[in-house]
Amino acid sequence: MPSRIVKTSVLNHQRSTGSLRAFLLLVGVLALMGLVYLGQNGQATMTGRRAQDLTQQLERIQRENAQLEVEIAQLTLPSRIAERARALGFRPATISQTVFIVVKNYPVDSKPAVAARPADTASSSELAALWNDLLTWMGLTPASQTVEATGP
Amino acid sequence: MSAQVLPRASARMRWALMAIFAVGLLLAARLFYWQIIRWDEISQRAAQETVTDTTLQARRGSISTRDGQLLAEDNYFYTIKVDPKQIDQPDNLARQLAPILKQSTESIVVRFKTESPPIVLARDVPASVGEAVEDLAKQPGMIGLQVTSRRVRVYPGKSFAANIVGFVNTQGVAANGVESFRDSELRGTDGNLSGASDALRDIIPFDLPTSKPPVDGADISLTIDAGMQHVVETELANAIRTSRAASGCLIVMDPQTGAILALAVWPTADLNDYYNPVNLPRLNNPTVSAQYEPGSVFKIITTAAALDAGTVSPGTYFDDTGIIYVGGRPIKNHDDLAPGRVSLTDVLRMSLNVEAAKMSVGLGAERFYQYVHAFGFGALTRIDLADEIAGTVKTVGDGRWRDADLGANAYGQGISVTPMQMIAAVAAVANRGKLMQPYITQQIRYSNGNVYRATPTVVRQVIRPETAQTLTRLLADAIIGESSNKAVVPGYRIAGKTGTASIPIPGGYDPVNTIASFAGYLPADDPRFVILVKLDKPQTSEWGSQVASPVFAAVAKQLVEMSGLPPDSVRLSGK
Repeated sequence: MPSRIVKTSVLNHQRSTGSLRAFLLLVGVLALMGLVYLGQNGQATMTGRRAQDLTQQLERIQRENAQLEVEIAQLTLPSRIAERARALGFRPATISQTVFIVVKNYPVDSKPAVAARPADTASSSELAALWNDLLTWMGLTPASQTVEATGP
Repeated sequence: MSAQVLPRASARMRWALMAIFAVGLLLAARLFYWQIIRWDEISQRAAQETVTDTTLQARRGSISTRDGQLLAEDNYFYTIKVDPKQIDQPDNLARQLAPILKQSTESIVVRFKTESPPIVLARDVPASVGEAVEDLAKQPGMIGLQVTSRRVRVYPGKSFAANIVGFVNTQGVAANGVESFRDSELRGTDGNLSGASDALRDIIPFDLPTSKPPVDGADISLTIDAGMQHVVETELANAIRTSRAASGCLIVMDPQTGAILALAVWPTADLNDYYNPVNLPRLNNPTVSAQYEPGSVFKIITTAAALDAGTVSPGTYFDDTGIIYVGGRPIKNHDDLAPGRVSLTDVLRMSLNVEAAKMSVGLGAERFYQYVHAFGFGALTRIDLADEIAGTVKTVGDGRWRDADLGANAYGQGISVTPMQMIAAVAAVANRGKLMQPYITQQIRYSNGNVYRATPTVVRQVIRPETAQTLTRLLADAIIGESSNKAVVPGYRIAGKTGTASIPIPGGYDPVNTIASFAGYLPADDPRFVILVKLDKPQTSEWGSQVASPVFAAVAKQLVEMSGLPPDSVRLSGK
């Protein structure tokens, strides 16, 4: 009988120790999760703060840059440059003062590429739209329009 | 005793529990009502309290010349206000602000003591000053130091290319020129930033805020050359001063592409001062938005049409008696000239109205107006500038046209054109008969990196290339033969035509004032520049050959010098 009591008490002790371990483990896991969460949150806050600072810095630099660009534009105005140049004793070279050297068969720039303006009439654009619609309806993608630009 | 008390206590307890339960139920019901039924409204109100929604303004794109001279850009101006009562050490602040604001410490201290807050210490100071003060305001004890900024469109050239650029007012509305025509590209799209904020409505960096970044406007480069623009503005201002003209304009175009290289208008004004009522009309662009009767410059068109149709040839001779009746109306030459037998070159040299009228009558109304329309008159040129008008060309059967108009239109009266139409038409003759669409935007650089580059566009072949070459030769010969014409650039053969046009007024034409003009191009064999000079109501002389031709020559001389274009003798010897 005493040995049974001892056994039961040991079993109870083991059970309670197990529960305590599980509880402590749970607490530990929860604490760890909390730590990770807080850490992440702190990191996010710091990153957010840094992003805010950088954005403000960028804005300031952009504003200062805009101001500098305006100042440069004021300083490089042709009227100001011409005035300064005259004050320093410069003057534009005339054609009679220019020496031209003739190079036979020197390759010159080709003429600029030109495009024909599309017809003004509404009917032609309507016809084109109708043709495109017809091709689409037939399951054939209409040929892409020629564009002059790479812009949107 | 206790047996009697207990049941009573128990009963009271029950009532109390029931009351607590009822109150709890009531609270739960209210909680359900607010949290479930009116959740949306409450959450919105909460968000209003804690969430700040800020508009992130898109930067408006800049405008510059093709060689990089900045003409328009957004800039920021700052205003500095102080409430000394909310500053820990006002005297110390005054000492710190004085060198930044370039004011004396004493004057700031006096203002702190005498003026009532908020004291505006500086208004519209540049970013460098505003940001230095902003740094001061971040220090502890500086709550009373306030810095506010506002975005302003700035035009560093002031009146330089003002009538091309246009302006944007304080409400962000664009008017005139490129600013208005290219508003959608320049404007960009505003973004927004929303997130949890503190009591000062500053976003707390606790969580990543939701944001839609702004899309900045595109930067635009024009076809304008800053140096050439300076030349035309200077020469136009000189011409206005010396001729005592009321107003005027000057355009330079590349005939091979239609690109506008320079465009000046007088009077003009500082774009930064657009709100001044005196300046507002001066910032329009009359080269596209106002029409005039071109006078004898239009004889280029009439002669081109007659040559192209074959009704006249370079060898044709005319017998000019000094008068012709068209539609019952007499047409005379200037100064009642009656030169007798004249060649086509003489017609252009002496600018004979009678022979021009004979040419249009010889063509017939239908063919004449076909050519007039083909040269682009009576229609928009579609140049990329705001407020363009089409001019006024009366045509057969429109109810306004009379037989006499056929004669008058031949020498540029009774027909109204814009200076842009006129130069584009003359450029078509210079460009071997091809009419090019004038344009002023060379490149649009979008914020996403895409780039649009303008391509010269042929509108149509108006006259045959041979006709254009013949007419160029005739025009050049006429200028050489005209002793009074001052459109001479030594070393370069020039083709062009003067114009002295009467100004229509109610009931007829102004008996005193004229519009003096010259349209020409050089070098005649391979034109690089087409120049149109127009002076309104010159007082020193009424004649285009006297007041407009010298301006053409002065501009042309500087353009060839600037561009390093060799004289004909050098250039043609190299071919």
